[in-house]
This record gives sequence, structure tokens and C-alpha cells, in this order.
Amino acid sequence: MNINMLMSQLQSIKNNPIQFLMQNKFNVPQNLNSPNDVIQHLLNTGQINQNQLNQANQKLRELQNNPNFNGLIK
Amino acid sequence: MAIFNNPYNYYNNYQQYGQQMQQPQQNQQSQQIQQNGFVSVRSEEEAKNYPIALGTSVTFMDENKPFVYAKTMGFSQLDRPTFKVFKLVEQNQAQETSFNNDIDKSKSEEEKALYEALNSDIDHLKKEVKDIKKFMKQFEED
Repeated sequence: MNINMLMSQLQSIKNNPIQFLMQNKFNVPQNLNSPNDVIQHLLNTGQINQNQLNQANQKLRELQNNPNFNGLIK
Repeated sequence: MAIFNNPYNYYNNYQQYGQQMQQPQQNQQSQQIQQNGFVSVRSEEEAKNYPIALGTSVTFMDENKPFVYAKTMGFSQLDRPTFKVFKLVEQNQAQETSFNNDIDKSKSEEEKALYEALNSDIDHLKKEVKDIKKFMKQFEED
């Protein structure tokens, strides 16, 4: 890998770190933009299971209902 | 190097977490729909849009309305998920008692009908026995 490619990758990380993470860590295609689509892809590829998703959703719901985080999490 | 002040500890923990996430989770050899517990949603729309894995069924509880939704996904990505809506109806004590009374009432009516039928059969038999006795008496007199 030459210096130009490294610089280009660093630039893409700086511009959109989440997208870089999704593509390289979780192999999420670039055309998937909405969170539900990304989650569905992770489910279909077996990288997460339904229980994990439900638990994460439950935690998110608890945070949303917590008055200390009111307005911070949508 | 001091362990507690190691700035790379966080990165190592993250790596282990990533490895756990990448382990294969689903076993599709047993083709049975997997059930999960209730998931809270704020609307029917949210339940319809909720991501669901292949071969899974998820039940949702609506936080704002007395509805329960069940979403089931088949084993093929080409299948469309089925979506059912159930309305929750509270069954209080008075309703339960009246329901039981209806059952008792229908039972007693059934028994009554059976009793009346038996009575009618007995009356018919009594009449036949009376006729036979009359005939026998007539026969003896002759």
C-alpha cells in the first residue's frame, strides 16, 4: 500500500468515520443509508442475532424514557 | 509499562467485542421459527418497520394503544414478513363471572331437555305397559 492510498483512506475516515467503519468492519454496502437497512443487513449476514437487536432496542427505549437523557436521544 | 495507564486497553477490549460480534449466531439447520419476548414500540408503523431476522417471530407491545403486533419472517429473503394485529381486551372479574354463568345456564338447559325427553319416554312406556295389562286381563276373562 503506497502513501497515496494511505492518505486517501485517512481522508475518507476523517470525512465519514461511521461509513468507513461500517464498510470495513461489518461489510455494509455503500448504498444502505437508513439505520433499519443497515441493521437488516447485519441480521441477514448473521453478524448480529434477533435477541441482541431486541436487547439493544430495549436499552435504547429505557434511555429515551429516562428524564436525565430527555431530548438527547431520539 | 503500567497496565492501568495503558491507553491501548480500550482498543484491546473493542477488538474482543468485535470478534464476539462476528461469531456466527444463527443455526438454520433446525427450521423452526424462533420466538422472542415482547418488544416495546410506540406505534404500529414502528413495529412494521422493525428489522427481523430470517426464521424469527417477534411480538410487539404498543406503549400507547392496547394492541399487540406479531411479525414473522420466513426462511427465505424473498418471503414477505407476515404481520398480525391483536387487540387487548381486559377480562375483569364481573365479565368472568357472567361468562361462567352463561356456561352454567346452557348446561342446565341441556340437562332440562334431556330430562324432558326421558320423562316423555317413561310416560310412553307406562302407557304401553297399561295397555298390555288391559289386554292380558281381557284375555283372562275370556
